[in-house]
Amino acid sequence: MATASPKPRTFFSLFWRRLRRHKMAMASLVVIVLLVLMALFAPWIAPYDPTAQPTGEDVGAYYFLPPSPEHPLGTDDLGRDVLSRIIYGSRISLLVGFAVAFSSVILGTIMGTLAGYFSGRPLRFYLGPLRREREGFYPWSFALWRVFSWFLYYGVLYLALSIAWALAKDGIQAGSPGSYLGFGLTLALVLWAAWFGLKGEIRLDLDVAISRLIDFMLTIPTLPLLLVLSALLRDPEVAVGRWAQGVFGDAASVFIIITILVFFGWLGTARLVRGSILSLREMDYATAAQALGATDARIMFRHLVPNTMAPLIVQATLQIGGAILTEAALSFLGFGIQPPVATWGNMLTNAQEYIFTAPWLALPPGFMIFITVLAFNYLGDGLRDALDPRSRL
Amino acid sequence: MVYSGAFKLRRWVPGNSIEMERNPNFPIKPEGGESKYVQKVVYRFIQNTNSLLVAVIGGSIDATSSVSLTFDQGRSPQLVRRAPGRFDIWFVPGAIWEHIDINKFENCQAVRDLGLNDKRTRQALLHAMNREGLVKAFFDGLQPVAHTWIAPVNPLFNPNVRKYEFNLKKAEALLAEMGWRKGPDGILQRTVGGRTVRFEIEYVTTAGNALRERTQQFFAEDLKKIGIAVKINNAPSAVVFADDYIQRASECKWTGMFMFAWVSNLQEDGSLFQYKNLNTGAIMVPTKENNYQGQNIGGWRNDEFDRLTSQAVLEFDENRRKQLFARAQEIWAEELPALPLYFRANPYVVRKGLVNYVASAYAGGYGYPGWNAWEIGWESRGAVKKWDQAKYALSTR
Amino acid sequence: MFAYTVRRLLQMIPLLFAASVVIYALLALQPGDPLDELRRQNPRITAEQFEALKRAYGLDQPLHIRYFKWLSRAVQGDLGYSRTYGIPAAEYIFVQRLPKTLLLSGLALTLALVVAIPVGVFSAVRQYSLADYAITFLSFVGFSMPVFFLGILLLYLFAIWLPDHIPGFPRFPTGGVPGVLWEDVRSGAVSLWAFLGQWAWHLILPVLALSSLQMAEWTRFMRASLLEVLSQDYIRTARAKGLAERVVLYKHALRNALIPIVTLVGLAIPGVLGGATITETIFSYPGMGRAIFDALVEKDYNVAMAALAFLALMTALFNLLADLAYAVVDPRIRYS
Repeated sequence: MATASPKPRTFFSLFWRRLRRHKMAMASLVVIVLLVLMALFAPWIAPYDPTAQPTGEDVGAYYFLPPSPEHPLGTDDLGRDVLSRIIYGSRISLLVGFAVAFSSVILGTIMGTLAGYFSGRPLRFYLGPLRREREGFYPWSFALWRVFSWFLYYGVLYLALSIAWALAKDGIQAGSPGSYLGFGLTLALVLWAAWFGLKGEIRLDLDVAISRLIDFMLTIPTLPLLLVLSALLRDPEVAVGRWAQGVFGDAASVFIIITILVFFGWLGTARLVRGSILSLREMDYATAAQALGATDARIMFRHLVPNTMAPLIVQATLQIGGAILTEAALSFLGFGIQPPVATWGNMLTNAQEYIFTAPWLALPPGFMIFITVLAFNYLGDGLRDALDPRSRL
Repeated sequence: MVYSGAFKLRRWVPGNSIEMERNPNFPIKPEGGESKYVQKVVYRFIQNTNSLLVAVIGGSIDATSSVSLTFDQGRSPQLVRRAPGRFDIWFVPGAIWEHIDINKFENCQAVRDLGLNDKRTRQALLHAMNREGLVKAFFDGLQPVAHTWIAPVNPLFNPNVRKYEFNLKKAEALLAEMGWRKGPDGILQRTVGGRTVRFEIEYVTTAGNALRERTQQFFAEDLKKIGIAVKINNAPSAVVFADDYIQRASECKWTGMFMFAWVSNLQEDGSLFQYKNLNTGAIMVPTKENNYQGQNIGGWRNDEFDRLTSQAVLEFDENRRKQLFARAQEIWAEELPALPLYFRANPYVVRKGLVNYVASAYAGGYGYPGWNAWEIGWESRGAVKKWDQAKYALSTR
Repeated sequence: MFAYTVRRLLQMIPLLFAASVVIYALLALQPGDPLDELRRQNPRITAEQFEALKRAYGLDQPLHIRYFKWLSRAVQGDLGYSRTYGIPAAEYIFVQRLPKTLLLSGLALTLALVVAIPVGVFSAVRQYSLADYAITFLSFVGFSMPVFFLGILLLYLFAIWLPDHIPGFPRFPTGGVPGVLWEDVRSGAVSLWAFLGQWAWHLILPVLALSSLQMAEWTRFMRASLLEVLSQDYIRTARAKGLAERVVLYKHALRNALIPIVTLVGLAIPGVLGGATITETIFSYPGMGRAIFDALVEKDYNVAMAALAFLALMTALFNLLADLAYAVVDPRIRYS
């Protein structure tokens, strides 16, 4: 039976074919690959050492040179070759940009989807050990969580009691009635909670939990927080800085920067996704999937999340640019990349100082950020069109 | 306290400007009558120096205060090109002393390892830093190299102290004397108590101060040439100038070099480098014992220096006072408790025809440059020029 | 909906409590305290004098006591005095700075929104046309141009270069706010129109500089979001019904496409109230951003605390409003 059947196509070959037809996306892909290659092979491409300063008698003569054949992009405030600094700078800037955008979009999407999907459907977070199970089936992971949560619950109670004791101990030994009363009240409360914990259950609306967490984090002022962190990290008595240095070595500062940026970066994405999911979960296809018995996870991540892609891609591309720029601000607060290491962000910030002496210094890093963001935007557009069966390609 | 000034407040627009008008009750009258002089002064608050530069070029500002434009902005082509016939740009040698303090507390391991408590190490560091090259490249030589902590414009300044010219040979010789040899990675190393240590020194300054970061990178490159690795560890001034940090060299919060500036005074008393003020008995080295007070943050101790400076401030005879300070400076320059870099020169811009608006190193200090506010005026309206800025400042021309 | 709103408002109480604790703790933990400088500048200060100063500033008490003292005064409306300006922190923040920031950032936000939505819609409807590419290009230029650069560029261009090169071109002010006060209008020294005119004249450049980034971002979001909606089945249905394209676009598509924009605007408004430190600095504009930054640098903690706590309240409030707005924009969203 040799009927002419179309060649079987995998999902990826189909996707690739569709993506290839998107001209801007392909051009952007090439640009991105070039950027990554530039970062990887910086030592071979860069014409000069990015931190090498001119030597000799009159070094000042090599400062702020406008573009010339020897220095295609000119030299900076210490006579260093701007082109080489741009090439080396791409390493940290691209790493920070990609890592931050990727991590915060992933984290934000997960949190936002959970919040939006389970909004108004409180989940059972805690189930006492003596409580009878009414519904039949529960996956084993829940059983694990259930046991774990008992330890957590009683651990917290124990902690509360020990703190109360530590606070009241001196007072009780001195015979102060206030301390007796305070400790007695705490003890009563803890005992009641312990009894409740045996048979009770605690339900929690994930939306409330996540959304209030986001609200809370949005209210934390970043500048004071970063100043406190900056002081902590350089305090030899507080082990954070040393620990990071020990674990990550020289990459510690980059890791710290990425962590801080992701810490605040996922909030916007999460709220964005939550808003869309709240609307999408009421769509017919979601209801249909539910009726067909699809699991919550499947509905969320197969059916709903793909439909929130459009703003997500924009968010991710803008976040790449934002992270590259914010890295400079963070380094400036003493977190990260110290001079003379070049990044696009710190080159741009530095150019600000010489905006009247050497205005051309601002152009190369600004242009690189522009190109990176633009390329990712078009690639994102192309990816979405290629993944979306409805779009005509 | 009751003051009487040449101008009095007329109105204040919060966050924007303060308007002053001439005070008719002010007793000192300028030559030819006050009606020929400036009647109204408007202070504008501009936080960004680039914006200030635009305002100056655009002509909306007649004169800037003494600490305003940066050195580079004072020399920027946009300003200099428009200056002829419109305004003068002056560089006033100031009393702001840029220097690198060094941790000399022996209880810190890094200090012992690198021998920072030994003057030879500090002398070697200074010999290895091309300060002459820096002031030439960065400032056209307008901000001369400093040799002690006292400004050259101060009468107490002693020009005949030991000077440390840029000389890598001398630096290497001093370091070799201390037992440093080039290691396999090109970085100096030596054996201290059975351990091999590399010469890697921490270098802290205020992040965000572009000029200091630039200076820092310049010197880091110099030090690299003689095999000293520099570990730059900058943070904003709020962090590094906090008591918790700058005053805690004794607890090794910073372990190497710390670059910043002191604003020096005309009534110099040497307290920056005293271990003990013999007149008050106060210990000037911040440690736990004295609740971290005092400005001798690197922990230098030289009893003769303390004696000389403590005695000098009590001395009424000017020459005797100068002699005592001259000797103190000689000791200081020999021992080098800190590495002197340069004294800042502040650029300021004043419109042509505005007379008697003159600045000098110790006049004013904050904001308005001079002390003779009642004499400022426009030549075109009959104001008489009494003070010539050219005597007290350098110009780009 | 009503029950939901009430519940959300109740949830705000613990949230704001937690936020104020964290903000207070962060300020208290700032490196250096207000007394550092005093101590360093006067090495002769004795331990007793220093302790007396500490008591005077209330710094001798533990953190949690200080916090509750602050809280009990704050709920009575007493936010303390500004250390730098010697006026009540509330007056400094809410009378001197907030109105100016509302004006600048509010105008910038409005401008961004007014431009971004139609341009984004246009760009989506003409997807992959030349105009769309041009808009995309421009919006990414706007996005990649740091505001310090754009600000100085605008200043230089409109205050110096253009007036120097084009005769008759008006010379824009080099930043700042006009020197006329509202009292001048009331006393008749300056006419209302002149007053408004002067303000408008001073606001043009900073508003332009401040709105560019947001304008660029929102144009992208609007375009992407509308494109997504336009490929949905119900739009095809609406078109198939023979509805006019205009009706399909504005009645069916746009409303759904606005959901992400609602979120973004909700997220952006607290930022508006918080001011824009860089723009305010470049244009010498006395707004909230600069006030908070200066208060942190000068360790004027009463001012910083008042401003940051107010911003926390506004953030929580506008997130609630954004959530409520979802239900208005999209009737499918139900809150119970």
